[in-house]
Amino acid sequence: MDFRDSEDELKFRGDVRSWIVEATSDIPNLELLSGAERDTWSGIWQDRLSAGGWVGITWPKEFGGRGLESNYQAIFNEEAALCDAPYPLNGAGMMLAGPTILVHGTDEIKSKYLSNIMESREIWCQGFSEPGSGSDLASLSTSAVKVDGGWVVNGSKIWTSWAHHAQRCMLLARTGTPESRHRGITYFLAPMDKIIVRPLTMINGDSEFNEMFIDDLFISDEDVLGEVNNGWEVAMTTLAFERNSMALNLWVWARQAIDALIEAAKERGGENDVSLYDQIGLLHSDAEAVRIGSLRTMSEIQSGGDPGPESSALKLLWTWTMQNATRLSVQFGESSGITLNQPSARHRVNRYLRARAHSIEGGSDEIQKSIIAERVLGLPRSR
Amino acid sequence: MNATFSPEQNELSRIIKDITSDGVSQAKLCTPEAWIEPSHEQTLLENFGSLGIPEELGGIGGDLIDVVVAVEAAGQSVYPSRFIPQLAALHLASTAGIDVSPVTQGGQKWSIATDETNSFGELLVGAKTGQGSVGATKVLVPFASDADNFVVLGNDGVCLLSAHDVTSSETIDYSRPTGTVAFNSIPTQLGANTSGYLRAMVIAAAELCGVARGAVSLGAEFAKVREQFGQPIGARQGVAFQLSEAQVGVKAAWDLTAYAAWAAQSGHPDAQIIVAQAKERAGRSAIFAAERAIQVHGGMGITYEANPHLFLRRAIFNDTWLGSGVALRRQIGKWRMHNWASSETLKH
Repeated sequence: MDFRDSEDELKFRGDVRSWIVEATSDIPNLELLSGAERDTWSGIWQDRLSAGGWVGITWPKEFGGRGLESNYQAIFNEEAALCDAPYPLNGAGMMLAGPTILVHGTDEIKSKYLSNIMESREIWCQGFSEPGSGSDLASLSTSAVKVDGGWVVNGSKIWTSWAHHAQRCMLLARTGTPESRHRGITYFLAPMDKIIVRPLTMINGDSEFNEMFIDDLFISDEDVLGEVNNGWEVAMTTLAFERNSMALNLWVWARQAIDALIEAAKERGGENDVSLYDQIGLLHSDAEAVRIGSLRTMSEIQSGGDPGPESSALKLLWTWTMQNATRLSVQFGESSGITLNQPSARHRVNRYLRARAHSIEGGSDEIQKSIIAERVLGLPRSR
Repeated sequence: MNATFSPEQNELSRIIKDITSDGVSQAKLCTPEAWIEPSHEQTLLENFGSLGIPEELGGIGGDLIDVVVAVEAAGQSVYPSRFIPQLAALHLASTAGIDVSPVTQGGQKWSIATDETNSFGELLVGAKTGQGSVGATKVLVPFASDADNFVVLGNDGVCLLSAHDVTSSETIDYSRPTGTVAFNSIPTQLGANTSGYLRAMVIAAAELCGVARGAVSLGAEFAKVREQFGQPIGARQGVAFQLSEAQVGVKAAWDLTAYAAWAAQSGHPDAQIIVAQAKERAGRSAIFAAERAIQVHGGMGITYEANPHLFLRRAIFNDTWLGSGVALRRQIGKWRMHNWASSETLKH
């Protein structure tokens, strides 16, 4: 067991670092910007990733990628985070749609979509959840009816991140009977131009998520990914990529949340407060556990293993760390923590409120605990 | 980077689990009055008692990752052996250059004397070992009453001493007898390198990882067969989720402990904090898991005749021993607040 960078990794890290330092040099402190301004910088950052050849680090070379293992993506993410780089606007395209198309796409689909993702010409979003189908995704009811040359889709989707910027959507719709559950779902690559997008305002005032209304949307046969009625399997591929890409990002965010807590403590005269030491010590261990767990997950993937349910434990630990760190940064300092006159206090409160979403998004805490109970501990199904 | 266990390490874990599989029933035989030597004690000590000690120093070789794998496996059944504390003693001694052959070849029994009262988790305080006669009193010394020699940690070195006076102390964990040991003599061997205490802490953390895993497993197995309201209680989320949460702690502790073993043996500049966070987390995880195992066992869980309390006892003991979790958290937090910017952990 060795946690050090290999020679190749070290060289890659050096190259990445010098590129990122240069590429982020004009980016302002994103915490101080409005949501719309942050999105603008996310778009600029996405274009720079394309120009620098960093979009498809793990993609095969024949599709314009670098053909590297996921540990190189992890190094890139880590270095980007250390420089406070923005989140790329097309994260869903780079990390989810592209890799899923590489697994399940025909040659036609690959040539139609992959270069657009590589060049950041098409922004993607993920249309899975519905108002009536959250944790129970297999109950989804958005329908696709067969017509000549394609499908007509009707229904609605919710919690769709970045839909307000997207041109293309990974869309799940029911093509089987209403009772067919996961055996009657098809995975479409849907155009966004006729989908109505309504932003949802989150409790911190940001609008990352959207509701989508789909009314007689025509999708051609060529834009079915995988087989008709086999969309569940394709969706599971996307969710596996989502879990793996989370492993590359979560620990960085946990570390940053503790950095922000310490910054808040120092700003408000708490740097010698031993009760804070106690709590920060605990949070730091957990944030480090997320980091080391992520590194071990990546090593597992590299050596051909499937970390599977282990990533549920990482997600839970990350959520607790984020929620506890952001709460403490607001509570500490009493009235100054919740009085929003200072921009810094406003950002802390925003971060705290945003963190409440972590135990819901990407699979709720309850779903993660069920996965551990059933698949790690072998307990009977509770659903 | 390759952060996976080797096939040999997985095999080592399996072998130790086989040898120690009756640990729970053996631990149960121990009382405040008498510790009972477990049935496979000699097999364990003869074959693995010097694991991680280089062959040229009289050990059987292997690295610290191998050590934590073996110790974690023994911890899963709260095996009531001197194997783990003696291994910690040997690592502390050999890192300081002390000849451990009296144990590996001569059959001596050594113990490790590190903790002092009111040291608040900081092990490198108190006793000085450097010159002349060493006078010190150490607490929570495992198997003190029948140890031939003690590896004593001071703030300026490590030494090998015989006891001046041993007082048995009854602690919460009957299956790991301890004593308070007074020293007042000239060391037979002396070494200045104290960094072996990090290895000892990693060993304690690894045992806690095993205790945590064993407790979750005990709780889960019971929840699969115990029925109420017509179905196994493990089908209820109120029961199952307690164990899921404990399992999150098991993974966190084990990942941090493997990393700490690597950091301690590779001389990572932040090894002290990396080891502290593993020990702190492992203690927290083991206590939480054992408490959940008791809760899941319901009325039986709070009885002496059921097994979960054995896990809680070892968890609490080890959490306190070799740097208490409460104190370590404070140290880590202080370091994170003031020294993080210059940390090497930032750069791996």
